[in-house]
Amino acid sequence: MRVKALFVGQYRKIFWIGLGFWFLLLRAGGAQDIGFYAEVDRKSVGLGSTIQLTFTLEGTQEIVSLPLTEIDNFDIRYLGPTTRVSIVNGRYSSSKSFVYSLFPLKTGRLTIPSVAIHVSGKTYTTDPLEIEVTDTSARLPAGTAPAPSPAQPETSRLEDKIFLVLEVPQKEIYLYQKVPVRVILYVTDLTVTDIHFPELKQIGIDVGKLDRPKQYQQIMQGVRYQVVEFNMAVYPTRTGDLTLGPVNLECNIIVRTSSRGSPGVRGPSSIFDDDFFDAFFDRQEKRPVTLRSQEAVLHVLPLPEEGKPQNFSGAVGQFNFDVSASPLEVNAGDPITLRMNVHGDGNLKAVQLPALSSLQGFKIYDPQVKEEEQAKTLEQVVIPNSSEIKDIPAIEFFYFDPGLKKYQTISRGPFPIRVRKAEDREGLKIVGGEKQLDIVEPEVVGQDIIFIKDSPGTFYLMGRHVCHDSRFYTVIVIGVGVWIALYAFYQRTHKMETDVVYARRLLAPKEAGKGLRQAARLKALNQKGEFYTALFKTLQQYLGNKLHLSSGAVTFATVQPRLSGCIEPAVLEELKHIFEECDAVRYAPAALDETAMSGSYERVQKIIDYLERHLR
Amino acid sequence: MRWLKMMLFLFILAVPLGPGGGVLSAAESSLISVEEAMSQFVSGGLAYKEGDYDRAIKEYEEILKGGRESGTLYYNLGNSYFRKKDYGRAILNYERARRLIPRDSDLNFNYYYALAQAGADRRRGELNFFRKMMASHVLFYTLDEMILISAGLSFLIAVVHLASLYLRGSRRIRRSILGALSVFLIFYLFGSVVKMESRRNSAVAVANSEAKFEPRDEATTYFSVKAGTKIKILKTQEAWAKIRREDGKMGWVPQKVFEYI
Repeated sequence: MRVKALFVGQYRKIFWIGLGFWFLLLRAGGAQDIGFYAEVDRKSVGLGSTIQLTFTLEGTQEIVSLPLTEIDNFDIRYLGPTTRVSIVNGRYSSSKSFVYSLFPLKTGRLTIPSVAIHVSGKTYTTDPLEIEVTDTSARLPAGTAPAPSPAQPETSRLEDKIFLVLEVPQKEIYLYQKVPVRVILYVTDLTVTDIHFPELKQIGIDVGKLDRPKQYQQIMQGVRYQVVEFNMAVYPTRTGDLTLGPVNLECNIIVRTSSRGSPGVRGPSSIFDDDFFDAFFDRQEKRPVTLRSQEAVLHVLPLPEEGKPQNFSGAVGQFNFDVSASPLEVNAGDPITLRMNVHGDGNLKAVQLPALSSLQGFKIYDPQVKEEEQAKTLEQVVIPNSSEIKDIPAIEFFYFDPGLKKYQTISRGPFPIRVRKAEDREGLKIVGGEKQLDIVEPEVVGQDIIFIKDSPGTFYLMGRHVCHDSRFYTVIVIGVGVWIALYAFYQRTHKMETDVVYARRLLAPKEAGKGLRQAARLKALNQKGEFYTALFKTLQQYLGNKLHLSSGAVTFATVQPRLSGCIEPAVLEELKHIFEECDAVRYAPAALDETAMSGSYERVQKIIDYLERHLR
Repeated sequence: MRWLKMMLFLFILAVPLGPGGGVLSAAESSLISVEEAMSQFVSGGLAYKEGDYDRAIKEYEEILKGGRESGTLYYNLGNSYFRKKDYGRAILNYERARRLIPRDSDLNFNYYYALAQAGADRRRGELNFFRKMMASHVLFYTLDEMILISAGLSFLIAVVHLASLYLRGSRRIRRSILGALSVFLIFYLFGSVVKMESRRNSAVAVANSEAKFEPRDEATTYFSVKAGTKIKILKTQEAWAKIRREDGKMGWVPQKVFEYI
């Protein structure tokens, strides 16, 4: 049923088109010739830039890789393959390209040799390509660069621009003697990044710690070099002629590389081959390089047997030796700490401090050894067994001085000590002391991870945090709200206390309301004189508070100049009328009836309302 | 009364503002209950004790698929992977556990032990005093703890500020206390930001790999990335990701070799 479905409906059309396409491919594919070409993206390049080399194989895709691993005078890097298939006018063609990045290692006319491949029993060969490599230092900015001089003195090589030097000041040395070594990186006309520490692995030579590198500039034969200097020390561990080096150093060189397409796309004489466009389109990339220094041969002499002390432990160099003991007064069975310190210039790593295992009358424990840059310290705990012991014997340190070419001995001590009998110490006697002291023996313990836990702790929702919880935000918002509220309340209270003008203005309507209520009560009692007095006082007090005047001094004459610009003339006229009315009634109260009182009351109320809204 | 009304308004406003908002997300719809998680955790522990580490891993990962996590869960899962000698995933889970229980001494011991066993790269650049202090500070707290401490310090600052206003204390003392609290607050807020930033796009390599100069198999290898190495994902491109190791080296690795913390 499924097969049948292929030949019906919409599938039928697709099927026939596919079949036709397949036949077309078969017919065209057999007719294509095989070709193998090499091309470069530019024929001329500066030392320090890269060129792109492309091998194109047309007509077949059988070849997976090319037999090309190196080219003389170039550092080569395979970038990868690209494949192209096209059908033009029913003609099928396919090609496969192998792209390499080449980094010239010297100037001059360099040749990329022909490369041969074998396809279906036939051999196909590319033509050799000539590349002109010029000195980078001649590649000046556009407009200033002179034409390459025909009398260019000699070939420049990359090794002249970046190289590594191994300097060993002393070639004839003694076994275990410290030899300072300098590894120096010289760079000129190149940008170098990611400089690794130099690697020096050598059989028969112990390599010391590398110091922090120094950077400076140096002029050699008229050329200014950027210099990175690494200092280290090496210690020969066997005699005879030992080869030191070569030292390897890895770094990245910043090289210019063209970001344009292949020459096949642009054509051989494109206007974009101009230097101006080169500068415009060039991009930079890091190219890893491994630099290798020259070798140095060390002639390592054995240490002389003549005068060699019996307890000599292999210390070679110039050393000082100090010993101290404390405390010098102890009870029998109590520890005394001996501190030995060797410092100086030499193979401190191999220096063995004097062993005290044969010290008579003392119990000796394993020493603690600490090593520093220029010193080695040993702390040794010794316990006098009896009160008969009067001193710790002298301790000797032997070393071989390569400068003087003879063995040296430094002796320190003896150290007089006073050991009291154990019975002298009441209440501090150690019972079974010997056994207890055994516990300080270093214990060999196993190592593994700690076992799983039985309690899972708190299970959280995956990826949920406190900041995803609405309660957290609620608390924050409430907190901020309370803080703002309390701060605003404080500000208002504080202003009321300190700013009298503000306080009076703020209180004016409240007090006016109080005065009006009292006037209303007097009106209800029909006490005309008192009513108008209360009304007058209310107005006086209100205007006094608002205009920051003494209430007693408020008359229409005093307030008129301050109000005339702020309120409407009709209201000012009304105010004047009220003042006059109040004055008149106080001298002839019987002249007014209850209606007039109500009118006066309302007018005062309206004036206060109006002033409250307009007087700021 | 006006203030009271404003507070009530803010409260009503705040409740739906929270990201949780009471709306159940799609992930939460398949959420397992704490009791189910607990049951699977116990099963995982039993499997581990019997030496059936595959089953232990399965049980523990079921809890994670169910949307629940805990520091101890990641710790036990890390131990299970460690026993299977999958150091990359062991370190990954220890890293995840350190997000939730950073001060757990057992966890830190196992984490550093697994790192040593894996030989993972932990090459940091030179840190100055401030960065060292900030790093130890950031590692000591969880993100939630830092946020809560910051909120607590803000609350304390508000209280001290209001108390100094209402109680009319010495202005010099007030400034000193507020200054000290503000310094602490900035320190914790900055720490929170650093922690969030350091967690963003952090991953652990779960298999040994090689970082290339370009996102292609044929590209030149720049450096190796050992399983358990902590890396930062800078960007992704198809099946590749650009990473930065702790020592600052950058390169391209296949996406399948790491998992996000």
